[in-house]
Amino acid sequence: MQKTTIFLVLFIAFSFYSFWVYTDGTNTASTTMSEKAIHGKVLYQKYNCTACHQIYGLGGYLGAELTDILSKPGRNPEFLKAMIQSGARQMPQYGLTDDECDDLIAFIQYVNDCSPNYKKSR
Amino acid sequence: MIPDFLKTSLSFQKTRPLHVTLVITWIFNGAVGGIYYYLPQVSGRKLYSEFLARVHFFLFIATGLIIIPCYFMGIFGGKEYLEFPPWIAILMLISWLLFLFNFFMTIPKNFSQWKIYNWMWATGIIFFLITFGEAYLWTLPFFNNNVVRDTTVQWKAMGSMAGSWNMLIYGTAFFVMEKISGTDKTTTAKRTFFFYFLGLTNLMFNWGHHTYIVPASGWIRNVAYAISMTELLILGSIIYSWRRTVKDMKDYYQNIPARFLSAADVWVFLNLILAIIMSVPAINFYTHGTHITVAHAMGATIGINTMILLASIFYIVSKEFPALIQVHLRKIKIGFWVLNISLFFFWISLIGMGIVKAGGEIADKDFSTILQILEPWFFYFSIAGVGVFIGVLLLVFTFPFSTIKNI
Repeated sequence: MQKTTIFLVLFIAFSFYSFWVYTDGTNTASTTMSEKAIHGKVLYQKYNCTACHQIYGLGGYLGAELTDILSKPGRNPEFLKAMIQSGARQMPQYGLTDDECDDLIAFIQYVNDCSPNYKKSR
Repeated sequence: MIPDFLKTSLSFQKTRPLHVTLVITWIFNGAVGGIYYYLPQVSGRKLYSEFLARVHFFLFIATGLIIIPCYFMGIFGGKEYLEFPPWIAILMLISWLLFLFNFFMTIPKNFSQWKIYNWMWATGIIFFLITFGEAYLWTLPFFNNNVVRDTTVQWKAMGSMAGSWNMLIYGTAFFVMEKISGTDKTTTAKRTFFFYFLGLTNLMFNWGHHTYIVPASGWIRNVAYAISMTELLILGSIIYSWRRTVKDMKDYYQNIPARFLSAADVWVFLNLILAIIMSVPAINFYTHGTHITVAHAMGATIGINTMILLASIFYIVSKEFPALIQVHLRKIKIGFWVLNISLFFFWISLIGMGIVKAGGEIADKDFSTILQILEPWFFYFSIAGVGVFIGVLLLVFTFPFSTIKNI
């Protein structure tokens, strides 16, 4: 009985904590997602960009971290578009259309805008 | 290592999810298969429905046979670790519900009499269901259209999901340990239950150390840091009972399942030190997103999970085909050492890569320069990986596949 009680207490704490994480705990994004960015996120998943690239450390390590890529010197949307369209050493060309590239970059721009101080204390 | 080789037809975009899915398949199949085998012994009655267990198995296989071609053809749509098109998750959900139903219909409901492995298996089954559902919350716009919420919840789901399969596997380790030692002193001890509840607390709240760099509420970081430091108690306990562990290792050295459990003990110790170091925010700030996180994952999935699952499989084989282990003893022993020594170098090279990458980032080097510096490490890593592969092959091909039809 005692073990069951401990389990239930922990489970209730977990449920409340999860609800808080789903709501107030993560209600901190500084900008809202545009329609283009939402479509860009769909493309990010469709092409499985996460296999090589990270956003907030989530993803593979073969490609560059994308969270604040657009804040780095010399890295602007045009540069990114050229990279996506031409491919890179390990990255194949995926044949994205102009509009798809723009939407994907809109998503990366949105993530960048949500993270003005990303790893800035380094 | 060979960037242009099959660059388009078999890019990393396809091979990574393929690799991860097959690893998770091995872990789940190994753990669930063992539980189906042990459950009648634990419950003192037949499995509630062998038919449902077969449906579970064939649904699991069918799901895999759908997922693998999807990856080869570049059909994705999901998130990291569950990259397949989201509708496939419904098949996985159904198969897990069958397992859950069969488990709880078979096991007696006298919770106060449950040994530690019953608690761990039940916890793992329930929490896999919860975290699997949580991993698909992104399909709702409320989660999907806010990258901070989406990323935090995804880390939360996947972190706790790993905790849920650890429960299934550690439960299996306790069961096998009880059978080898012939006593249930450990599986009913208060100390064991204390660490079970500590593990459960970590499963529920420790995922946050993955999200230190996500701009969510600072409370998530504080809770995660506080909870992750409770792992020091587990570390302290391992060090405290080190002498007894070494004695047990010596006493049971000739017992193959026990040898794999001992190896898992060593990997728990090494990986726990790494986990505690990684959980300190000031260190996590530099190490997260580097290969040190991969080292932790490899130490856990190969070093701990695979060693325990191999212990479980060799235990079952020793019961079903007692003569086979003796016939293949030499090959098993060589496989054991090749696997563990190679894995150690594999693990060390990943940590080395992580340190080099973090150093490159601190020095503000661009990504391609960091990759160039990492190249020798990739080489050591690949050599060690080949060693791990050979070790696994030696163990896998210990038994002729003709024995499968007798199971």
